[in-house]
Amino acid sequence: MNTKLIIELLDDSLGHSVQTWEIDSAHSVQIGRSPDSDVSIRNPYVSRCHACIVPKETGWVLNGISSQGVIHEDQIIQSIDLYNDIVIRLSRRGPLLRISIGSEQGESKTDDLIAMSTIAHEDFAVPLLFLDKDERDQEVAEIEKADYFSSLKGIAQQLRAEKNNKR
Amino acid sequence: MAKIISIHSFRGGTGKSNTTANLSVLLASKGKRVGVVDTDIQSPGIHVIFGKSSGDFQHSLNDYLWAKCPVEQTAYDVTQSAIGTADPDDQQIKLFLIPSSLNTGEIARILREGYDVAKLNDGFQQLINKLNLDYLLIDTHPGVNEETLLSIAISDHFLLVLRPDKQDFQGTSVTIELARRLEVENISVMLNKVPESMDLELLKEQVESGYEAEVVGMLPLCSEMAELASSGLFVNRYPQHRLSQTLARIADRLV
Repeated sequence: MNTKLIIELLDDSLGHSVQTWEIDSAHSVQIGRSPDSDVSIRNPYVSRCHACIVPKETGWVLNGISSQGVIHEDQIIQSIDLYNDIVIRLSRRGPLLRISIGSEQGESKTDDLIAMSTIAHEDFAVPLLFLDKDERDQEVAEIEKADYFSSLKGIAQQLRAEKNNKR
Repeated sequence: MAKIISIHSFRGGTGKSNTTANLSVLLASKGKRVGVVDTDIQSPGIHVIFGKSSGDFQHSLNDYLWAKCPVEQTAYDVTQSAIGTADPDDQQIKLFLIPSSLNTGEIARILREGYDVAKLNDGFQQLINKLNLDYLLIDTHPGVNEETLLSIAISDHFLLVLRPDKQDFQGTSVTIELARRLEVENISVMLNKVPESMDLELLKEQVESGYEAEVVGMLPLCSEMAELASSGLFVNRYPQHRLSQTLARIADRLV
């Protein structure tokens, strides 16, 4: 029976985990901006009470609560059965979460109903520096199309050649 | 062979001009002949950091661009005020400032008529030759326009200054890509105004993997710099400060 959940807040541009919650629970898990949430995320796009994860007979189900929505594979979902390493986004412009389901091990850290630990960063001080590479490439392509850009390329190449000759 | 170093930001307010001015002092102090050109013709200001006002200059870069004078006449020797310890007869330590005009009519004219970017390029080369420079630092206009792209294209080293800020991060990525397509050999990044509470290692990792470029320095957001309010050279006022030491390491990398 799966009772251990690992919820990771992911860095938007790199996809690595910046904050982790480990939850041993047979009860539901609240996700939201409210400090009282089991998984409390200080992000303006997250609603105070955004979603909850509820245990089923086998496994877990995530239910969206906020009108901002929970996004899975570009679709707003009301409810979804969790599978290992599922990635969801809280609202269209909000943060990404990855949820792993671990089978309960004998060395389970605690017998408490809910035990959470925040690894990595207690204070979520590093901003999510999001890099939209498609947007960047589009802008670059626009500029590159202009006539002056290719003439600049020519000037730069010529100057470099002159410099190398002098060396 | 002189090195051209362009210092650029995607947006204003990153501390680009302050960085340029302080790096120029650090480079000249190594016994080099350095020129600093203010190509931020639309919003000039680096001269203020050198303690100068528009009345101190008879000519500006604008006069050269309008063919009113040769470019070397727009260069002002600021060695004595910027590097107090330099011997005035020592020809090996020299710092020249090439200011842009503060005259609003001049600025309006540039905006209205534009100018010949090729002439700007010739000007850079003439400055290097006539003043026998080891380094030419170009303080660019924020954003991406023709003269900025020219400065990038002819650079040996392109230094980007940004704050740990979403908009800075996205915009700077465009400039870095353009510099790559212009085959600039050395591209590096300096993070400025970093709040003390931030995890520096994580921040560095995010920027370096996003840009595939090296972060050569991370400067803290500090009250001393804010209090100076661009009315002086930080590295002279606070030589022992952590910020000055980081700038010195960046200067070492540019040599």
